[in-house]
Amino acid sequence: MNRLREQTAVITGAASGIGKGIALAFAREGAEVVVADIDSSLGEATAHEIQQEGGRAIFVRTDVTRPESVAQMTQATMEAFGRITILCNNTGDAVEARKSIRIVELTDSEWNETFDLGLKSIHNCCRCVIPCMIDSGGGAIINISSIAGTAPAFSAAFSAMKAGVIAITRSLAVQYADDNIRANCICPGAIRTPGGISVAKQGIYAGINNDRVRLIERFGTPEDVANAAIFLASEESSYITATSLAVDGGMLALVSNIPPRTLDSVPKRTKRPHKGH
Amino acid sequence: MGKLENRVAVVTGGGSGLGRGMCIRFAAEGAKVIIADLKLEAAEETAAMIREQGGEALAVECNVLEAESIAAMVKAGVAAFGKIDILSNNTGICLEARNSIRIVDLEEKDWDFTMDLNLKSAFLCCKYVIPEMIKAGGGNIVNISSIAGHKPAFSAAYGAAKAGVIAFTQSVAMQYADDNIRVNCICPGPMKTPTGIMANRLGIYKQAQPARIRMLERLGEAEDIANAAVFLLSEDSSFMTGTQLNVDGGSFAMTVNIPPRVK
Repeated sequence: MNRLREQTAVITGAASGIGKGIALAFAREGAEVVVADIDSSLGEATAHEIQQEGGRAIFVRTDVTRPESVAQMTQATMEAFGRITILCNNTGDAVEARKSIRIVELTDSEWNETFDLGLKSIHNCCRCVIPCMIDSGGGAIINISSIAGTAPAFSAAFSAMKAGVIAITRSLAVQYADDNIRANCICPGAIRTPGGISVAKQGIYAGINNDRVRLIERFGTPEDVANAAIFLASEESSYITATSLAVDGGMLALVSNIPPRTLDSVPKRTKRPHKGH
Repeated sequence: MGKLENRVAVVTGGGSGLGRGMCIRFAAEGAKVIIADLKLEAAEETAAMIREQGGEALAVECNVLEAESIAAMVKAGVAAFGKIDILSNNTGICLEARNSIRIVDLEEKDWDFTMDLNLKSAFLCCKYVIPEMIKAGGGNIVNISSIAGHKPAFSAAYGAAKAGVIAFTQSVAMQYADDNIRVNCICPGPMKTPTGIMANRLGIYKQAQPARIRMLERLGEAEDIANAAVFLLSEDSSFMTGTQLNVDGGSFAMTVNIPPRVK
């Protein structure tokens, strides 16, 4: 299990959820891991967990919406490991789904926060990290988008932001191909994380809980996304760039995109009826 | 421990090109491989390469356009290895690119052959292999489409057939999800295989040669496709079905689809 040996990976939002799953998985494949997150206690815990498994990791408190903070994280990484060859941009929040709000209720600052955390953060991180990647001889960038980025869902700002992630991934791939940097993104579907579960309960999937929303009848796990990320970070995907990979249990392939009932009539989550004996 | 340990795979068109690359790689990952090819000699060659590296393989002469031939191949495979739980539908051809012809000049039989070898072959193989997968408790199918399948290129019949492969992939994923069968497809870009090189030289990319048609400045190798296939067939992708994976050096994401000059 050394598919990422001699690699150094920066993973943003790695204190919990999908980011944590990616950090653990990358370390198990031999990479040195930088857990970049705003949450110190959970971030330290992720780094500690990796170290206990025998992996190499540091936690660096990072606010990806602030360029100075990202610059400091990059500097700390270079001091610790001397290179960066993998960048995984994983931060994002779906405030609309959590609050079950539409654009009239969405505040200006919520719109800005959505884009700052999910999209501008990619610019901030790439600006600092890509020069280090070039110095390291190249690398792989993996951005976490969403299936909402290709098949827009209830959440308008979130969907627009995630579509932006797909677009910036392609542009990054074009701009830095000659520097031996590949850029790809992953579009997760419903993933069992603290954020994903709250979204599933209260938001985009609320109205469709009783219907079949994916072909594989389970929630995805951070490990599912991490497996795809390992593939895209490793030499196995050396001819793959500028693409997006859906890890969604088959949601995108379902023809009907059932719109949830709007707020007043959002049905309560009901249990799936038992099958007959 | 390989990623395809204890699995039995059918690879159509396994006697050359991408198919051979997949056969060899699947065997290296622990799968027993049934190499189905119209040319038995070519299939035997692939089988010999697998046995040389310590793997198990069965070469079967198979015409993927004939139901009886596929049924016999499936029967021989199950007899040899006890089950089938992986299917790679890999046969295809791009006659138009070979001869640089447009639809007015395309013979009806060439249209039919393009549709049959690229698309109907996947239907027929699924028809006979899926029941074996269900008996085995589930399985994985990977279909080889093309980037021409979602951004049609010069070759009209080929593009339509490969678009069909993507749609077919999604439908079959839907139909057999409850039988624990996952179905995905790979969309290769410019490849360094006999067919790919010919297409490059004579057809679809001919006039676009001086321009940059992909971001990674090399042609894809059979190994690139095999890597993607192993990922899609292994437990690493157990939450993925009905999707497409581009292995194209970034050519699909290029904005400009330069039409070749036809005169």
